[in-house]
Amino acid sequence: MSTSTPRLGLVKPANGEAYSVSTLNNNSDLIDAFALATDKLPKGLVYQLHVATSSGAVLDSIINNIATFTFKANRKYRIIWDFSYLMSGNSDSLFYCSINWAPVGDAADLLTGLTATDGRTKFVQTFIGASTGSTGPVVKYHQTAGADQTVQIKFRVQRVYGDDSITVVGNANERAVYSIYDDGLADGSFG
Amino acid sequence: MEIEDRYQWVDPETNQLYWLTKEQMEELAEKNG
Repeated sequence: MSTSTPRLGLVKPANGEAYSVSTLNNNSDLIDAFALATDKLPKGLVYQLHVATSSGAVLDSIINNIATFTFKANRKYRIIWDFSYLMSGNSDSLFYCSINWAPVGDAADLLTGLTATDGRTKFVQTFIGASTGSTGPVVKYHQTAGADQTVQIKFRVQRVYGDDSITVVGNANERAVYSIYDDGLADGSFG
Repeated sequence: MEIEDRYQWVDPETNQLYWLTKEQMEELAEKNG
């Protein structure tokens, strides 16, 4: 009778492998080992959104969200929020820009129920006045445990110092880009 | 850089957040009565 390999479910012929016409081989063999090795490799870009419109000028707000995303079990991910910003006003100001988890189904603009994961603080000095800057993307390095994790992802800015407002810039030639990369099998190298 | 006023709007069907211009908000309001 025919059977299938344990890893891939490939159907093998009833006659077994070449070295024996009578022995049924249902063990993990080369093709299964190859599949397991391939699973460890990074899959690369798994999500990307380009936004060509600016946000409003805000003090504390969700700038964008991914309504639902499933991180697969035992994987490493990078979530990258790459954007320019503009601050208006005449005071030194700091804004904390962060990537947060929220329950799927929570309203996209809700500021409660968030689990802050990682962020970067953006700064504009007084003498520059109204100014635009980009001090590098906000990156969350994420590693999942033994179960899939489905969350809503929210991208938030919060003023933590000063009197200015912040606008996350988006236009045809300067887009805000939201990306998620799969960096391969989790190895416990970070929390 | 000229930045026009934009307003936060959440699509109730997809729960996706958007930043709309005043004109777009008015169009939405008209569509939705």
